Amino acid sequence: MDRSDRGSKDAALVLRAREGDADAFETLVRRHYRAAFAVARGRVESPMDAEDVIQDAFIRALERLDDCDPDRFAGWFLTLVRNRAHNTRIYEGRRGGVDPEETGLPAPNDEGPARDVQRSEVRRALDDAIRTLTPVQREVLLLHDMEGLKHAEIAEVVGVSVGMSRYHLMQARRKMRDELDRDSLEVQGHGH
Amino acid sequence: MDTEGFEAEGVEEPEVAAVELTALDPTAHADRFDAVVANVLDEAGFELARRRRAAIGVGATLLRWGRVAWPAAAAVALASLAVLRTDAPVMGATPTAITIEEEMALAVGVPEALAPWVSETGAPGLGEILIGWEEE
Repeated sequence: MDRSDRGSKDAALVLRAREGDADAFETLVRRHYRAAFAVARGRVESPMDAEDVIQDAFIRALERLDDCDPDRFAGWFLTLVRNRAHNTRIYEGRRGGVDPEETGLPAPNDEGPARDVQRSEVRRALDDAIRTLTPVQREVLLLHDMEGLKHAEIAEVVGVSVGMSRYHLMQARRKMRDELDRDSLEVQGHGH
Repeated sequence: MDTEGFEAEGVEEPEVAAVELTALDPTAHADRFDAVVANVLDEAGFELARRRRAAIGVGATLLRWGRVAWPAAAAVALASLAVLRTDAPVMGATPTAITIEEEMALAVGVPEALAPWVSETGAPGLGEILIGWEEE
């Protein structure tokens, strides 16, 4: 589905959600959750805080839905997420940072405890690595490699040029690889 | 920071392989994601209900107005048609007496100069429409 299709589908959903249609609002939440997570995670240190930011942003978005141009919902909503995340980050800074063990909600346990442990270790390693990136690197990396946006779309969302989006992605990937390699060497070192 | 190569069109950036990020994807596990969405919907319940009430309120208002406005508009339209189909008197003629039908035509917005002609031509259904409107 290209951007104009996504935009027109969003517009119809926004109009229905304005009239209190819960199904339409739920579809908007599901469609934009991952991109919102990428933007929020770029600004806050923990996945849990990012999820709080997103939930709060969705409620705010619903309250202010009449201010939104239905054809431009995605950009409007992600700006709202970024602002909420920015405020949370300021609050975190005043609070004195987050608990480094705070790595998100518990993993599902339907695939056995061994698998859960493995997944939670992978997630912890990724979380540690992603914390070493700058906010814009995180945002670009997650929007590109997790949400699947193209550089032109990322440039619009993040407010940088297409060239800078490419540059940040390359830097972010390189830094992630270095951090993950270091982490795995440390794990191997502890194992011997 | 040297970003010149990245800004130039058609210049390929040095490829760095992507890192597998599925473990960070908040939507990757359906059960967990469903729970998060349910939580958002739960918090949004009050605002969604308020919007539904507001939408119904607007609809009801339009319906109420419609019940008055449609008969009145229909009456005016029928009256105008009736005037066009008859040999209308010269514009500006002053009626000597005002009939009930003229009063009713004036009440629904028929221009004063047309009111006597409406009563004379006896626009079809006008009386019933106006009586229906008055009973609303």
